Amino acid sequence: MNYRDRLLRFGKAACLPLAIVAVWALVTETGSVPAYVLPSPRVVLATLIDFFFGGSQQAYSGKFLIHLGQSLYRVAGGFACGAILGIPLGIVLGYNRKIGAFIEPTIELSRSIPGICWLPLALVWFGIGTGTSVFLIALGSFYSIFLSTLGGVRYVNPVLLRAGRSLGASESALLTTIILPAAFPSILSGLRLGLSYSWIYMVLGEFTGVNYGLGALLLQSRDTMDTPLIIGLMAVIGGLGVLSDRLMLMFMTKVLGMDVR
Amino acid sequence: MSGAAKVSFRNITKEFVPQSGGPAMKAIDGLTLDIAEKDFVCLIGPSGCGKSTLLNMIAGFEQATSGDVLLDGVGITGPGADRGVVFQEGALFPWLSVLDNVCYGPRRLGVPRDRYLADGHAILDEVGLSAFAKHLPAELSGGMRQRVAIARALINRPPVLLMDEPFGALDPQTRVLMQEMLLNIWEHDNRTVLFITHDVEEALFLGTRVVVMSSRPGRVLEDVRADLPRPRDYSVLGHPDFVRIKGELFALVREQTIAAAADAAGRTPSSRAS
Repeated sequence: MNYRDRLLRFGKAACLPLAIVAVWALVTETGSVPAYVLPSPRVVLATLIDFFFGGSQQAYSGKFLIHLGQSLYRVAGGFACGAILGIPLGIVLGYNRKIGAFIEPTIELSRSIPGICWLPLALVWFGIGTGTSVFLIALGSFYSIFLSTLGGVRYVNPVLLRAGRSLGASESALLTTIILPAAFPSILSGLRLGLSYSWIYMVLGEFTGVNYGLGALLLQSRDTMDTPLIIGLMAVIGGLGVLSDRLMLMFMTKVLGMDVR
Repeated sequence: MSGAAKVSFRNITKEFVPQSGGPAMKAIDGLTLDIAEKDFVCLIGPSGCGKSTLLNMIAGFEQATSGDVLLDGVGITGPGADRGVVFQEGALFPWLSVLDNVCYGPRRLGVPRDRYLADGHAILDEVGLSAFAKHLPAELSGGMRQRVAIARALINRPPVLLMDEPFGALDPQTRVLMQEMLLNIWEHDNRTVLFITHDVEEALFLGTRVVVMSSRPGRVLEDVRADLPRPRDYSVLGHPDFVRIKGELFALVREQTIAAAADAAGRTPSSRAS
């Protein structure tokens, strides 16, 4: 795609958001909607700038990095746990149906319990704080990573395996040179899905009353009725989700040189 | 035929149990066939007659329900690099470049890097794809992909080459070029080939022997030596012997195809009833 096409595509994509912001500005600046229900984009932006760089007497002023650090720490820890469990388990169970028959039904069954239901139990086990968040994030990301890996490994085109065997590949070589590369796109899509769940469960975990973290601040800003900060934090958390997804995609394709189809 | 057969099928029977239950279906019934060293045997027959199953048995992908499949007189226990396979749809590894696809075999067999790279380039040259060594399979046409698949199977220098309708999905013009390329390679190295096809003309053009299978359950119906002049090119199509044998084989395959269709209609009366 050349530069002009990209610009055009970006322009098309930007139309609707710009229109929404315009309507939003119109109804708020004219005072048709009370500011505590919906503050104007200008106020939200000013609050975010204050949150990022400081300047006011508010408790959150200039504290972005501290909250971000806490949240990232939890997301990274939980996501890593989910991936470290999900990928190997998916590979083993996808590769060996005999072992799978013992474990898979249990995992399928446990998956039907909504992630949120684990919250009270997590609080009993890990108390309020990072432990509960990491547990919930690990749980939330595990299923999508595990299931995508399992599917990718199990449903490798059987003709490719026949080709490999007739070219002299041993069973272990089949796994490393055919099954894993063939399953890679599914594993990657599982990781991306898992990462997006990580952000969701991060917010849930931090809603339990921890002091620092973007989710924690989001809950606190409801207590103080700080609507501009609520909306600003929603945008920040959403933006971080997109950013982390892009970074992971880039790492996988550019650094590890893996292809995504 | 001199000496022992390179590949032999001894009284092979193959039954499939349908996944939906019901009685086992006999796909191959008491088939015996010997393939001598340096034979180029083309197997033709109606769909479902078990020709691919036979090839898969030599390749070691499938097992006979009863009977023996022998390679140099020894029973086949599984797939191996001594039997190269070319599949209908190429089955190239989509994440590997053309050169890496071709070098896959020798790498698994522990051939040193210098040698397999040299071999890879040489064989790509032979199939006319030197300029595409770094391309991915998805960037090639169907005919080019099949040439890579042939190169990938040949680089291990397998004594037996198994080809399962390798040109079936290609357009007629490309197919002719591929047939000539394959003959050219075979006339140099004379390895044993089992080639499966639907196409009577293709079978007669390529093979030293054409074996016609019956409709299900598959048996050998006719075994014709194709003693047409070599090296062959497409001028052989007009040769009187070629035209005569082709006509006979065509009539035979047609008869079996009609029988297969009648058989299929009889098996599923509800879906065929009008």
